[in-house]
Amino acid sequence: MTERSFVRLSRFQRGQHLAMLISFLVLALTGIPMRFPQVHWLGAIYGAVGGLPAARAIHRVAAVVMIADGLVHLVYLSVLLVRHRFRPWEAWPMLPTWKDAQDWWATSLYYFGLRKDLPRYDRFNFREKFDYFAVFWGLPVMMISGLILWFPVYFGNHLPDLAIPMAYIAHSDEAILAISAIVVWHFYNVHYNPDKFPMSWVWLTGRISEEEMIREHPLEYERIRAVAAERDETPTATELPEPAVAGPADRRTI
Amino acid sequence: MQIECAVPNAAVSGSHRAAAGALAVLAALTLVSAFPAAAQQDSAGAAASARCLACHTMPNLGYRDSANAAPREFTIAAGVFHGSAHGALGCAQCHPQAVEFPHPAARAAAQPSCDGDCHVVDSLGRPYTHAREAADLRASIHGAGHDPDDPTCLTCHGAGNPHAIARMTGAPPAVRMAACTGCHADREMMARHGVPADAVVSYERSFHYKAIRFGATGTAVCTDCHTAHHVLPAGDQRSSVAAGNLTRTCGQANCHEGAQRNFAVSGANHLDLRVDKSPLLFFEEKFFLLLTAGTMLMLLVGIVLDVQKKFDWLVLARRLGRFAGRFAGRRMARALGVLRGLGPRIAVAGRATALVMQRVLYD
Repeated sequence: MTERSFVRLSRFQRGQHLAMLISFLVLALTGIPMRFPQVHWLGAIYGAVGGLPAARAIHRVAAVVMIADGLVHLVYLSVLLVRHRFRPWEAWPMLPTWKDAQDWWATSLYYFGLRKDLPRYDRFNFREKFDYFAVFWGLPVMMISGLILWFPVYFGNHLPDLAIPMAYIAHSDEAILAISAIVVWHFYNVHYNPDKFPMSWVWLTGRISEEEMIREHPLEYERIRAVAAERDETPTATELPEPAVAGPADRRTI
Repeated sequence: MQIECAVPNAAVSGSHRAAAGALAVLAALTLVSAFPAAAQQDSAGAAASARCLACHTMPNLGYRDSANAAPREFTIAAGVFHGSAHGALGCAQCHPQAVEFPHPAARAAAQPSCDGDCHVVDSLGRPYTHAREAADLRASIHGAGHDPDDPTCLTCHGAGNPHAIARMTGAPPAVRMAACTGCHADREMMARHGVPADAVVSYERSFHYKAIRFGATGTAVCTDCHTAHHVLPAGDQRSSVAAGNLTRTCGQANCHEGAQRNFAVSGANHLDLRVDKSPLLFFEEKFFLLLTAGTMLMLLVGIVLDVQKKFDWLVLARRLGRFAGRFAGRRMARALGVLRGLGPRIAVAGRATALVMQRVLYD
């Protein structure tokens, strides 16, 4: 028998992540030389793609992909809400809860050796929620400021005169924040973390191992086992529901 | 005026001097005879120039003014001159009085001016002149005073060398920018005139400049918005960057066509100057600085804590601390023990000393 694994990301969610990943990398690579024009070697990126006009076009195509990805996600969220009969806490497991604050505190105590074990995380722990809302904040900021800079005459004429300078500052500074957070924090969580190195494969396979599930999401693991025990079945990967689409397994209503 | 040779190796031998003189006379004779026909045509102008250059390409041709000891040099680098915007013109275009030979001293010394009529015609057959540009410069902030810092035609066109006049139209953006940045990046000079010293720095933060940096040639340099010759401060109604004229300046063909007031006054092309004036932008910059620094600090601390827990570094450090403490404690205890061991002896010695002292002093 092969090792049991658990569905973490549905195919559709992996698609959203992939679109975000590719568009983010392209946007960052074609944008960062513009942020630091005095850094000579960064200019090689523009040389590689065929000059500034080409880089500009690529940046905008990637921007459209990222914006579309964001809109698709909004539609997805609405569908989830409708499916869950307008109960947001059920429909959106990413919403922060009081337990997240408690978990954060308990985790801090654990880190300083004042607590024996890590708190028992549910399907999404507070780090994962932080990552999610970082994108939720960053994408609109980058999108709005980026569109103003893309169509400066249109937006400049119709918005107050500070719109373009504000968009300029927001776009370049938020980009630095986003790139730093991804390279430092997200890459630690999915690449450099000793438990994950060289990479967490969940973005490709959509599944995590039972061991990983027990270590990182014990509450969810127990719930799934309880459900399976009720049905008197072994929770094999194939028989498990796809909780990622509709939140924690026991909260599924349809 | 007494003329003396300014050349360091001025002890030119007599034969050399004679040869040079003969050459000069020869050149002058041919020049004078050829000049009237040479006035209209470039090729003829070049031929006439060749006659002048027969002498004027000689190295170290010059003298030291006996009145103020100022060196005056008349050597012209022919290659530079022919490569310049005036390279095809004859010398007499700018130096009409110098055709006589020997040159009358007073006439030769006359400074050529740029706003006179040139002796050539433009492609439409009109007499060609720089009079309009010269008038614009005189009416501009640059021509208003008589300050030695005020630029002349030559400051921008030819970097001070009148025989290296450069055409700015169509020149690479870096060259067109350099005409302005030569002075405007000089903070001391700008402070002398009360001009914002950050004009260049703030422009270099704009997309106009960054695009140039990456090879674009079509985006705006200084002169595209401020004009080349008729430069006036924004407060002046006639200025191209005055509030009333900005929409037209930004909306030039091939620039931001359709620009209206709010777009034009956004000030994004000198962002730093705008930030200084707008609290909202100031706070926005500070907000993002705090947000980025705070977030990254928090995340880095989180990572460090996670890593130390994974490798138990904190436990290790604590053990190390305990070990160090125990080690130091033991050493100190031993030192104390030694002292304590010495204690009775010290006491005995002290008591004995006291007794001796008592005997000596009081008995």
